[in-house]
Amino acid sequence: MSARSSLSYDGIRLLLISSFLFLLELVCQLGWVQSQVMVPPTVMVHTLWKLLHSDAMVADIAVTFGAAFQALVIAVVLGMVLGWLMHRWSRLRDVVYPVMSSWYSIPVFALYPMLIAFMGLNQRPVIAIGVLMAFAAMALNTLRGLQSIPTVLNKSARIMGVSHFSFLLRVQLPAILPSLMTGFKMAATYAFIGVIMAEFILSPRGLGHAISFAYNDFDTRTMYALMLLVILVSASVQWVLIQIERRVLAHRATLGSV
Amino acid sequence: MAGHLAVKELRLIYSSEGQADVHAFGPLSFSVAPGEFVSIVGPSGCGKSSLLECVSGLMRPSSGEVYLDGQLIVDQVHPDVGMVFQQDASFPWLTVADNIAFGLRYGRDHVPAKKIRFLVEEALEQVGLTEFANHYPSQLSGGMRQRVSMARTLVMRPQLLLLDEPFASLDLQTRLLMGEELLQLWRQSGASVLLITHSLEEAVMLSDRVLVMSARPGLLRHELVTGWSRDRHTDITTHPDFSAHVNALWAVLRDEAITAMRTQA
Repeated sequence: MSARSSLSYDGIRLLLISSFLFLLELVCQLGWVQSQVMVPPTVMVHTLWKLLHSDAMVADIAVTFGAAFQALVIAVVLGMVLGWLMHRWSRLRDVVYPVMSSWYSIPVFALYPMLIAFMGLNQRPVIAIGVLMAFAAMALNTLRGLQSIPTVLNKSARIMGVSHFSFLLRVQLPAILPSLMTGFKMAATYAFIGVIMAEFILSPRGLGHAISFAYNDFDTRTMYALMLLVILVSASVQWVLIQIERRVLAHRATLGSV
Repeated sequence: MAGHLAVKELRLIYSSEGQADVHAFGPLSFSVAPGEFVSIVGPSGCGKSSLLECVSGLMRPSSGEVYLDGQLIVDQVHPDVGMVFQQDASFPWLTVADNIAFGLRYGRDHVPAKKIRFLVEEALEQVGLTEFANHYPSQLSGGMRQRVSMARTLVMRPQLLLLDEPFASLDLQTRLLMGEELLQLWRQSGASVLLITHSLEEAVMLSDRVLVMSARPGLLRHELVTGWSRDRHTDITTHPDFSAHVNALWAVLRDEAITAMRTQA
């Protein structure tokens, strides 16, 4: 795709989103939809702006980001190790792979009460849900990456007498970087979703709790403002990751698959 | 000159659970003299590539022995052995220069950075890629990528160079040019070469000696000594003996190729 056509696609996308927002604004301002049901986008932005100046809300946001970040780090490490182990031992792969590939059909949230019973009513079960949501995407993409390294690269490295450690660090790791990036993007989203959903259900703190609190309080403005925040944060994180990916994988026309 | 390869009674039988054993090749015995250029031709599926992998130590043969300069090297990769494959083996995340330096940096021996830089520059020049030192493989043509693999192998100063159809995926003109370059690199390095190819012309053009393998299970059927001088070029194809050699090889290989086609169909 040339730069020009991708620019015009960006333009069309922007046009679609802005016309949707404009319509939403219009429908709300004209009073076609009750303000308890939906608030105009401008009000969402305005309310969000005010919320970002309240210490309590900033604390909630920090709690959520902190939990999501911890969940992501644990999930990435756990996923990469599990993916590598599955690649290394075909027996483990045969046992674990079917579970991993159907992982997202498991309702992880159903485990939340159990996790609270085990870990207590604190941040740990929240992080645990984030980890459970995110690690499988990382493990699967790590495995996929390792399995798709051309055998000729392995043979070349062996002929050159590369040690096991150098092979892992200098061949396998760079070779699977595109897959790791794909896994990381998914894991980041899943960790964020997992943490917010967990906070939604029972946690006394965090963004998810704030949304749920606003909802129970019929505070539609705050609810929508926070939902807007969640969407903005998710989208910006993805955008940043895609930019990093483009830069890192600039020279890999052959391996940079999605 | 070192690089004396001796292959004795080498045999490979694939066995997998619940399936009949496949006798890939052997027993095979042959040798390559120091500095000699030997090619092996054979019908497809005769186990040529597996033979080369057993010689390199990448694959464990079912029985038999491989000696390099009198040292048993079966089932282990010997530091004096270099290998170039048919498929593109360049690392796409490294520049041409870093690709060539890879074995020196992360291989068996510790080579000082200064020496690596010198050797890489020399290798770049040998294969005519000096201008492309900072390019990535994705920016190069197939022939240039094969040159990167060749340079990466030669920079390790192998005594024995194993080539598994290195030019098979290139177009005919590039193949001829690469053949020319290979002859020059072979003369410069003094290494022994064992080349697998399915092109009879390529085998006759490049080699001191050509071995013909039979259809599976691969056995040595014929040996042809070309009698070329060491400073030969690709224009050897105009030599009166050239077509006679090619025809002689084809006479042996034709029947084997027919057998191979029948058994594979």
